Amino acid sequence: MVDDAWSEIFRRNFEYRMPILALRKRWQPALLNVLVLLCGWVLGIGAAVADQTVPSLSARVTDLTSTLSSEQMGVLEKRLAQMEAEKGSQFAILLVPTTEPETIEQYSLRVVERWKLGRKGVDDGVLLLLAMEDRAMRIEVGYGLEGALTDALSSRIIREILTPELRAGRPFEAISGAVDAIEKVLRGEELPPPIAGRNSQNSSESDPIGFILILPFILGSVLRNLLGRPIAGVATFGVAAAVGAVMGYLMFGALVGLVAGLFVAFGSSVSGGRGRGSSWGGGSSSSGGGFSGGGGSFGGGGASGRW
Amino acid sequence: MGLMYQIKSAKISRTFGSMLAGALMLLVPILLGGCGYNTLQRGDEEIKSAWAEVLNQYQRRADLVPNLVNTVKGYASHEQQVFEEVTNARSRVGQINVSPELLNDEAGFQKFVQAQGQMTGALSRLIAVAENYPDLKADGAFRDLQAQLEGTENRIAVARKRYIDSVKEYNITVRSFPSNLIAMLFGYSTKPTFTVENEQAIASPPKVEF
Repeated sequence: MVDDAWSEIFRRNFEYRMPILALRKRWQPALLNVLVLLCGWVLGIGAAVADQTVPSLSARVTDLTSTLSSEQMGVLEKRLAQMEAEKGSQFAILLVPTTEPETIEQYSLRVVERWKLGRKGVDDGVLLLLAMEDRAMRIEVGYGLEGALTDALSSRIIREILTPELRAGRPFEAISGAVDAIEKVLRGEELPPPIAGRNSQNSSESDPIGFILILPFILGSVLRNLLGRPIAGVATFGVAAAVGAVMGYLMFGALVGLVAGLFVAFGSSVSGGRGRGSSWGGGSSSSGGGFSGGGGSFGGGGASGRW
Repeated sequence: MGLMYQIKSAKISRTFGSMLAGALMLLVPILLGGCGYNTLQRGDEEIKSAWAEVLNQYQRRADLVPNLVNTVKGYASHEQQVFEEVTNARSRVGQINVSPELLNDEAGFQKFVQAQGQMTGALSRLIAVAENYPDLKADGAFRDLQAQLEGTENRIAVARKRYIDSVKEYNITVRSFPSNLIAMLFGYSTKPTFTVENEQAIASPPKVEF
């Protein structure tokens, strides 16, 4: 029974597909790549035309509508920064003209997925979003705060603080009042203490995979000059496997070490291999003065309203 | 002499055989990894967790129902039809067995989606009925429950979107070359997902009959 199944699978996959595979093998990946690229490009353009873009995060208060004066933004910015310093939670405010054609919920989720407010793992981010022309607002609450800043509470803040002030044409008072209320909730919530210098810690994380990938080749080229090809090859393999084991990637380290070792022992030039420009992890590090999200995630908690 | 040679060659071929076996053992993981085996595993796990979140949020909504019905009943006790509808929808949702195997069962999945869609419809009719009672609308408890329901509906939308995204990625892996060979070999097939059709059924405004 099992044997039958296997022979059936073998027959289907290899016996009669093999010639076709051999023929198409050369072209199929290339064709697929072109197709994927093309489709991705078309989709990307379509999406860019259809939806509002998410502004890049550089400050806690982002006003694309010139509703707030620079002093008012400074006041809010300072309060939110102080709250983050004391409680660790990240709270950002965004004012946009409109979220059309998306609903405010859809746009808001895209913003927080991009900005990643709140600490990674704690998920204590909050976004207050106002779409001025749509007269719509939303409080988007990170996973970690859903228990404290509940949907009902968010809705109350919208109904009782934001809506009346916005209807009266006092956007700064509305936002400031909402910040007061949310701050009160956050201060009452037990959260892990803030870590000093969170931003720098975020960007200093290096990628172990990248490290293991590059190290053997550098090491190999040094060892080859010292020990000669065959011994250097074996040594490179050993060291890479050991480093991989220490960092928890034994198999991966051994594999890369094997390739690097063979390369050192039999290859022509190691520097040629290095020249292919593999990049370290880390990515772009943020500048000291700006503001960036801490990696928190959101699941759609919070409340929306209109004024 | 000849015997010694034979033994020696047998030894050599044995060492060669074990070397070959060793090389194969090294090669198989590389090939499997390169052909998407790991991608399939990761995709499968991601779908499971995304699905768990969908179920979690639907459950959260079902848990809101008794409170919501009771609060509305306090002001609009004669709207029997809509209460019945919500209660029936909730019991239908509760009857569906939501084991992880549901994801390998297209028909069962559609049944689940349909039942949840009916629940969405019944709940929006309940809220629409409540709109006719100004006292109810002003009730603090009702407003909180309504906010919770809206929040939960939004969480469901988010969870569904994330589920759709993870299934999409996984299904692409299952179908595209060469990972489709690995998928076939290990019995991974495409997973059902929420379609636009369901989306429309759920998003369509409720019919309010007087």
